Amino acid sequence: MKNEKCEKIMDEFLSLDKYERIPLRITLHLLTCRECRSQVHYLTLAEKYASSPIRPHQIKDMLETIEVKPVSMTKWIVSGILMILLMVIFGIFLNKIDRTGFAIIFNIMFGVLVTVYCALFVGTNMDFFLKKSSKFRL
Amino acid sequence: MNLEQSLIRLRDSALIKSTVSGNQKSFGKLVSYYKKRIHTLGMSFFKNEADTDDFVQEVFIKAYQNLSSFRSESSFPTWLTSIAYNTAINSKNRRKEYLPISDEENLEGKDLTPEKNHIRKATMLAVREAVKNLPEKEAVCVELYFFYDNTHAEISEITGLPVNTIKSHIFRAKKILRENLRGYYEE
Repeated sequence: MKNEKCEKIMDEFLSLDKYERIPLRITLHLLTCRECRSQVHYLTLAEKYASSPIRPHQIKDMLETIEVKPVSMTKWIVSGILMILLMVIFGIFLNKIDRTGFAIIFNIMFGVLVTVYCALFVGTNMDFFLKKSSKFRL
Repeated sequence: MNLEQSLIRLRDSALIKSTVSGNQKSFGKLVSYYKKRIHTLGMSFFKNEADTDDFVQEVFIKAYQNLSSFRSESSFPTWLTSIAYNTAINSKNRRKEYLPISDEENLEGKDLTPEKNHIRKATMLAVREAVKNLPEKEAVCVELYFFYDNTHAEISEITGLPVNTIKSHIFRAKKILRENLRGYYEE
């Protein structure tokens, strides 16, 4: 153990509850301290493996039972293209009138619009994404 | 609560509703998901298959009879483990001494690689050492945390012990585990 700070951070980590979010202070320390990071990694694995025989891949079993319907892309592509067109048109319009205030408002608005679009796309096809992402899980 | 736990909670809640409205197949599914957990806990108290099987049956019958009174404040496995723990503690057939599952050499994760199993064994040794001189109730707490995936609050709900007592025993076990795993992070 390098120093007292590491010891204190590790004690803080060890006193965390199961599934408790790691406080920012610990995360920041882990980013800079390789030894503590390695300890946290193995301790987390140890807890995970300890309960594995009693909790055998429930989520995996659950996902196997979900029938994945093919995601219809047409409406998403059409609305995506319309959104991009809208942005281009507004871009041209803003260039012509040359008003910075408007430009900021419209940029924020489009930022929100793209975020909502992406969130809706993922949210409404959650079962599809969960099934696909589970293939890449370790 | 992570995504996996949220999904499991939603699934359990749907199965409970379906069981309460008369669908026995749904309860069968709940039994299949949690039978191993209850059986493992039972083995620590009864230490023989016949009594443990009777115990598992008794626990699920009690759960079925009281399912309508289940409120979603706690998770279904916590509620079920609480029934199992109280049934085991009060059973006449139980062994006088609780046998920690960390003493079970054969309880291996079948799907785990040799390295993962080695880490798991280090955890079992740490828990074994941590619970060695503890009274039964406190030993159960440490095992509920490491092997049954329960949080401090859930363990307190199951055993009735104060959260701080539970925390201090688990903290000690984790300290021992950290020492046991030293070979890995000093490589």
